[in-house]
Amino acid sequence: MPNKSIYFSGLMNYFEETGKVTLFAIRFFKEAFKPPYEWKELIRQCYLIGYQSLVLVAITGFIMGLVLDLQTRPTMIEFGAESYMPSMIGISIVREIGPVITALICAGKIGSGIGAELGSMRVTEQIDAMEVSGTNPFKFLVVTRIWATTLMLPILVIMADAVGLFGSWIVENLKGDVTFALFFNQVFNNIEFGDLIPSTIKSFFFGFAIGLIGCYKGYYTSKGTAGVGAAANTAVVVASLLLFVFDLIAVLITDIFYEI
Amino acid sequence: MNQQDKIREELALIENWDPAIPLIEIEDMRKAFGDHEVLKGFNLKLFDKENLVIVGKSGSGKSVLLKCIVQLESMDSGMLKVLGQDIAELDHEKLDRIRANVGFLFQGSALYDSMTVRENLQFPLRRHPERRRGDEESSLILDALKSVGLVDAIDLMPSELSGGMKRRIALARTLILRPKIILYDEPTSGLDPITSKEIIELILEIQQEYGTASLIITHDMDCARVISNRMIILVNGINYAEGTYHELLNSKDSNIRAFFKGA
Amino acid sequence: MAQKIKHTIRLGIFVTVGAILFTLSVYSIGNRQNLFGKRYRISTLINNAYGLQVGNNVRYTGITVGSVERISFRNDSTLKVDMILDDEVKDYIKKDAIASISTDGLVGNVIVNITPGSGNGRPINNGDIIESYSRTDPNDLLNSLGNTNENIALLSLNLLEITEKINDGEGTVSRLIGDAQMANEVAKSLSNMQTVTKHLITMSEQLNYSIKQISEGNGLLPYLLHDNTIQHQMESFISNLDSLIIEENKPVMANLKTASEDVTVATNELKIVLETLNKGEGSATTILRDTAVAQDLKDVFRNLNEGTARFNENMEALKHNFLFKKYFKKQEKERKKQEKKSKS
Repeated sequence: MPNKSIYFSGLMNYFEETGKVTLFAIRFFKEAFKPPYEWKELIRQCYLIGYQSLVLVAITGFIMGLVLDLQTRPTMIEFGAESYMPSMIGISIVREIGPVITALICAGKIGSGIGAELGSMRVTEQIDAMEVSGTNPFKFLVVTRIWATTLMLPILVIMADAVGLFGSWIVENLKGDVTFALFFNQVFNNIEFGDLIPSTIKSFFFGFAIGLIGCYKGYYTSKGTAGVGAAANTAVVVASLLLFVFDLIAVLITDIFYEI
Repeated sequence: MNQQDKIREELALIENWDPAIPLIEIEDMRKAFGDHEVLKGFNLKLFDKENLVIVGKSGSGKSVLLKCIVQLESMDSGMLKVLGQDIAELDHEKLDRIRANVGFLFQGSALYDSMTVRENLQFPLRRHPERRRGDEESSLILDALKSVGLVDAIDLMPSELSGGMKRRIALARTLILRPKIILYDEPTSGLDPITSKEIIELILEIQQEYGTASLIITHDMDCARVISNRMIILVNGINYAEGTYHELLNSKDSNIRAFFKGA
Repeated sequence: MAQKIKHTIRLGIFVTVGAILFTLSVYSIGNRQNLFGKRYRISTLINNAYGLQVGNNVRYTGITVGSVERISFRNDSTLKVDMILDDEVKDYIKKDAIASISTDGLVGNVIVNITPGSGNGRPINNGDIIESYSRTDPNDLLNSLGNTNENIALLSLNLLEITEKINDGEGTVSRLIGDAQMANEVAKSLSNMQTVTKHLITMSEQLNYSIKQISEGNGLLPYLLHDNTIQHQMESFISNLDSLIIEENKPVMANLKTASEDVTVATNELKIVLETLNKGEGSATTILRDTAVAQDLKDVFRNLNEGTARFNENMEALKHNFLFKKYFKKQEKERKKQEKKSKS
């Protein structure tokens, strides 16, 4: 028989964590706009987080496009709506699948990376070393990373969208003789600003969530090297969960503004 | 008086420190983690150009003591003066200037994994340009590396270095700001005896070359014997005994004798 | 340091490509909605928006030339649709162009279609309001088909009524045939029995001729005979006609003696009746032979035929529609299979 107090303490833990993460986010916003700015580190992080995730995201996006098209095609043909394929694929990739898949991949790659990196920096006292040598480690490590994920994720999402659409086009071209021009013409004929803009804004928040959780988990790692693994692990789990929560909120908000 | 002059004056004051005034002065320091009280009224005075060794068992609060001195941890109560300033009262900017005068050699070296040795050494300078004292950055880095005998390692990554080399580079990084005081947190931990000996000798050399005061925390009695001018034995959160190595070695107190068993 | 610069360059390329992709997609969408470049506005007034939304395409002669900017109420039954159009097409759309709302395909988006007017009008100006007419949407098409069906039902109902009335002895036909006074006059023509019978023979000959014509497929009736019920009704109608003639001739025989003087007159009258029947005058013949009413009925049937033909055309068009392609292909296959089976 599970004890009631277990649930209670679990709930309290949840509230405590939420509170801490919120404080962490507030601290980020406080320090993010205050000089000195760590430009060099920001650019370095953008390179590591953005550019170095490109191949992974592109491959995922490409396969996502292929698979989505292959899976949807038979059903659409059954309804005789084959010619709606490009627009349908376009809308689903741009609106939802592109941002969410990219964000999940990045939560796995970047979130765990940040969690593990900051975690090991914490347990090997590198963060303390920064602190005593006059550099604000929060600013140098956390602010730059959260900025980098926030800024880079939308770009990655756009790239994943593009590669994904390209993948779908390949399937359409091989199976249905759809030309490149026709495919993208159809795609862009059916995408509205109401699809593109909210999903881009959403991507910023996804990036922010990944950076925030990764940094939070890493920055407050304790209990040695085991803690580093735990930090990386929980960073991915919590960030992925948070992504879906953000996604839900984003969809609801988009509904209000664009009446899909 | 503008900011620049103020900083220069501060530096001058620290460089011509009155030997009679302790660099670090701690009175009745208390620190608890939850219910567990680690420091229960610790007292300490560190004077100029002195090598003070604090020995104590692991978990006796030695590391916490060092971290309190540079405000990585804040003490619960007591008085803590570093270079004449009440460190708990300082704003962040002033604290950073004090910290620049206090080097800290971390237990695991704490080199920045993502940076080369050169970048590691550059790192403290980026926020303390006044510490260059007009020298070129590159010459400062080379000087520091020369002091620890690892000039060749300048473009290596920390992962390419052995434990002993890491410790030397970490020391070089501490030295680059020419601190008045260096705090050593277990300088020989995790090193083999030969490397330990090298590091101990290096610490002595550095102390002579740069004229720093050192506060060394260790449970390695060899290290204590070679380095120390004075020793404090930390037991139960207080400075249990104080004296030179030999004074303490001949002590009849069983608590003190316990430390010298292996030596 | 060289490595560092390379990283920065790579990052720069990465960000630039991302920015370009984003800009391109924004531009593509914006271009469609005419956010960039010169544009102008026109409006139209409509009664039903049929689900038209802001952002839907506007087409002129089938080419997308702009989009719907705003839909607002003018009054309780009129909507005003504001459209943004490309500047390029400005010269081609005249003031007498007509806007209508239709769908892009059978299930596609709602669009505004602008069709050219007489072509003599002046080019349209910014802010002009053009005429509109209600669209014919698939629903209307189906509605009119439904109406046609109802008309067919009504028609057969009317035919039924007519035959029933003939049976009941109402109306001109039966009166012409079954008038008592006339029968009396026939009865009086006993002495002219020979003539009567002679005329009767002629009459039956003429009836035969009529029926022959019907069976040969001349005239209107064959049209009606396509329908089984109508055929049956017509058959009973004809047999009734026969029996009527026979029945009504019984009193003729009975009163042959008493009405001998008037026989000639009566026969003459009967002659006239039969002649009129043959000539195709009067209500009964109207139905039997092709005169004005028959022509009208014919028209109805032609319309019906046209309706079904158009429906067939629509179905054909549907066949070519991607949506139902699969379905019709399946049907075709099924049919071929059946044919094969029946052949073997």
